Amino acid sequence: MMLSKLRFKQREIRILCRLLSGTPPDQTNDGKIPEIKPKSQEKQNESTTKIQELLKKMLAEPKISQEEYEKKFVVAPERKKRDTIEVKKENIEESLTKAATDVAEAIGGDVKQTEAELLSRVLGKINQTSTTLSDLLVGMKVDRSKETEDQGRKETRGQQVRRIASKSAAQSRPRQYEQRPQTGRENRPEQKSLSQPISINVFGGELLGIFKQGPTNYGTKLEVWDHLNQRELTLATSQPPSNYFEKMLLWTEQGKVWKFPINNEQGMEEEENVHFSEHIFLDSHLEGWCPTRGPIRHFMELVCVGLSKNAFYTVQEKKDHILWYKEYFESKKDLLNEIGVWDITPTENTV
Amino acid sequence: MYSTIPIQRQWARLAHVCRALSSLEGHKLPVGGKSIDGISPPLRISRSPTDILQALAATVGVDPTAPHYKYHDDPFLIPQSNYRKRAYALSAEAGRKAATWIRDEQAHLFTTREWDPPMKMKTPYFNADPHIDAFTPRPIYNDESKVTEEDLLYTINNALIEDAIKVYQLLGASEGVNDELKMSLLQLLCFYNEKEPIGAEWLEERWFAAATRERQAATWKLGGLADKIFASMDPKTPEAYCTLIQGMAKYYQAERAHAFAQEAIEKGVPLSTGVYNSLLSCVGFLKEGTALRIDALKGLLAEMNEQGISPNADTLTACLRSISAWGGGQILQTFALQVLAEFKALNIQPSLSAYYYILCLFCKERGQRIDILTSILTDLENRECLEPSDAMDTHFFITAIGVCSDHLQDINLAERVHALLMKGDNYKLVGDAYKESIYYRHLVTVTCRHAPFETTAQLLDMLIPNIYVPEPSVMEEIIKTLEVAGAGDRLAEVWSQLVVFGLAKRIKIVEQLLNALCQCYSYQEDEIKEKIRNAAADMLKFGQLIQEQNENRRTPTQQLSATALANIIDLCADVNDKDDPSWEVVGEALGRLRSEQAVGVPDKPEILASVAKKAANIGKPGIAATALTYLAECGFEEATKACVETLGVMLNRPVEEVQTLLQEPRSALEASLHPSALVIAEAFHLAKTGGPMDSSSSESDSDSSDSD
Repeated sequence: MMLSKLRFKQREIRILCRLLSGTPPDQTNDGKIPEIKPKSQEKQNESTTKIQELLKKMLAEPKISQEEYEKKFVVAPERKKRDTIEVKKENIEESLTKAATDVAEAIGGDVKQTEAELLSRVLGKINQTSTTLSDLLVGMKVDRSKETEDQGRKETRGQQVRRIASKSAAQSRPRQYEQRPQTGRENRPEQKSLSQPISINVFGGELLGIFKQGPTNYGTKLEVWDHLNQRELTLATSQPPSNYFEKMLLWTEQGKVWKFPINNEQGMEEEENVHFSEHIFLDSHLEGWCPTRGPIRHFMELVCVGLSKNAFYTVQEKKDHILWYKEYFESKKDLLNEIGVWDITPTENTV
Repeated sequence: MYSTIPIQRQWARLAHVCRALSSLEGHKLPVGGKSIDGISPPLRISRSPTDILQALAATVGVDPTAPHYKYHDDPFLIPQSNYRKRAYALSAEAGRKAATWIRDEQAHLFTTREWDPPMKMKTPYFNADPHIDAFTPRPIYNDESKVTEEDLLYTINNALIEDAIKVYQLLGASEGVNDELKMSLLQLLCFYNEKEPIGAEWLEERWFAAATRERQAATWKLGGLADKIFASMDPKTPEAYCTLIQGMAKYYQAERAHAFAQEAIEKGVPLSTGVYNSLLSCVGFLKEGTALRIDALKGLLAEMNEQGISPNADTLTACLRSISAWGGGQILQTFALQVLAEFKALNIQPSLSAYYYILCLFCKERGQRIDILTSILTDLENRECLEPSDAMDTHFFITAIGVCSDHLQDINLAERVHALLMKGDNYKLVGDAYKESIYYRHLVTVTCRHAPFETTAQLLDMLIPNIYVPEPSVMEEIIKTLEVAGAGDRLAEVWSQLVVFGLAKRIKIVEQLLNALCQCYSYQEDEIKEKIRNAAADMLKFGQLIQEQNENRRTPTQQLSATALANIIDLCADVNDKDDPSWEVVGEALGRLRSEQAVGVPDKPEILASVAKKAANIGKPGIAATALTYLAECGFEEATKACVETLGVMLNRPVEEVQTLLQEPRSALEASLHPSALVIAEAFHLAKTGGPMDSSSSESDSDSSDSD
């Protein structure tokens, strides 16, 4: 179990290494795979043998007694970071462990086994995290013994601080060099890239050779789609006006103000091609139906004068207006004839 | 009577002659060119309605010292912080919106001008002459309204989706609408996926809208109205196929879009470049894995060539968009370069959005540092002008400057990017307010880090505060730069900027600023030193003000740390005049330290020790006593020594004598010493033994220092 745990750690370290080295994962996929694989394999083998050696050593001769271990376990550096509440718990655990060890030694046989069993029982009664705790206890042994292997002897507090300080100082430097020195050759180009970026020309690629220049044909055209596309584009690039002229520009485009050049007939496109004479000389529309003289003629001429001065009606509206009177009078024809104001022929000029 | 026959007959002829004359006049108007012989007037140049305005607008340069035109030109209404800029601009627009709302709701009040003849009432909402569409109320369509095909055309042209759907249904759905209109409606529905877009007239709202990234998921409405209209069209025209495929591809319904495209090709329907562009941009949804995707993309391009459809700039953009969405890595990068080269051979220039995708592909956050931006910039700088062709074009500049700042850390490139953005009409490509502020964040950061100080100062003076208000992280960067350059006067000004920008409540920045002020205080000129002292005093006052304001609220306010207070004390104590108001500030800061209104303990207790000595020297024993008591209470080692020295200064005796004096019992000292000196003596004992001088009743320290 411990072995597999350690192996897992190894893998973690390798993942870390890759992350730190800053190579995009795809880069390793193309071309560099054959280089990396044997090395990492080798490395893994090497490290597993090392671990096995360590474990063997540990199993063969426990260098320190159980009691000493307990003391050290309590003052283990990583424990220190925990809260005060947990420290208290540890004290309980410490006394428990001590008691358990005593019992186990008294019983004899496989001391560690007995101790672990006892502890798991007792701690299970005290708190719910019993199994993990006892697991932890067992697991801690490996770490601790490894440390003693490495350090050899107990160090003072000052030494500890110095060691940690130097470690962190070394770690702040690029980490990949420490952790896998054997891959140094691979790292060299990357190191260069950190100081100087690789320069690439945008148009430096090879041709795909799919298209050939020929007559342009964009296919079916979608007018509304293109119009909407243009609309979205203008909206994406439009900004609030930054001076009065730009505001005027915006308003002109929205059709809110007079357009330049100023022309007071703007917005009267309907009448654009109509000459002013058609607005003013309306008498021609009386020809053919209106009596040439008499009160009706007089009235209609006044209507024409009035209409000729109206600036709001279009020519068509003026014509319609006159025709309305025509229809009106024609509908009253009988009455008008009776009075003798309608059927006055043009020949009666002299009357 | 004036009506005689001959004249009557002439009317028509006269009118005819007049008409002929007028048409002659119309033809006589010369168009374009110059005066030929120098005597006759130059020929008329026809101009569009906005030409003159554009020429005039070009004469008005940008004035970085003035607020933006949209803000009220009144000193009290000029916004200084990001929050206010946003609030003021949006309030102005809210007013316009309210007016529009009333006009739409009360449309019957705005039907006509008073002086229009009554006959004009025949057209609804005739409100002015000439008729202005922008001012007419928007028609409201409901189940009762009588609609014509004209209404449908109006809604389609103005992109009013919901109204268009309503009118379409009122017209009797697929039976009541002619094919041409149906086609237009289908295009509208497909373009927006049946979702109403934001109105075009609200510029500020668009400008300040938070940038929401489009979700890359199949959002196409399956079985929606667009699908129904397509199904109801009997001879399915090529336009219908193109529209539907483009719509589906735009909203990531990739598989159906490709299936429809296949169906169209089998039926011999001619497709278009637009269709292939949209298919290309979603081709990655069909396949998994880089190699397969690349093959699919190549296959699609080959198919396009086979169909005899020519690619355009959007085709390139679509390809690169797909490629950049597939991740990174050497293979994709080389493929992207190949695509670029292919289109270069076809004389198709990459658009800004194509370059944006290239930057996304090559300049990843972690990964090799690749400088592709230089060649991109060289290409763009050689162009006459940058015409936007795609809404994504607005992403180019923020990405480019981001690459300069984070990826390449190259100030020269950043300057080139900025110059390009400022060239001609290019500033419109900055996007919206959000993108603009990201752009300047990157620009200021890279300038602060890598440019010479003069350039940085110039840039900051130009941008801040009217064009850009720095965010907290950028402010920290600026303070760091100013500290390194030792610009004391600018640092003192930074404090007032912090207050104005609404950043003064951010304790982290204030503390950093105080630290910077302390670092470069010693070598400033006297005038600047005074400015710095005033700034420091103001920081303390501001903190108190905020605290008083927030007393009623439940959320606790952040407090200045003890180190920051010690820095304020250090700065303010640098006066030799006993009556200087700075001493009051020092006293107040010490009071806050002692009453534990500060976080932690000072980093540098020696500051307080030296201030105590100085205060004693100048004749402010109360301050000296408070400082030393605080030191002693905190248990600093410096306390004992400082106590002895300060007492020496106060009593004007050598150190040995003071030490013997301090051995005497309290009662003896009480009689002979000044109350402040007594307090110091107590502080000495506190520091030395950890307890008070005697067990006998000692009066409160603070009382005695106050009585001074």
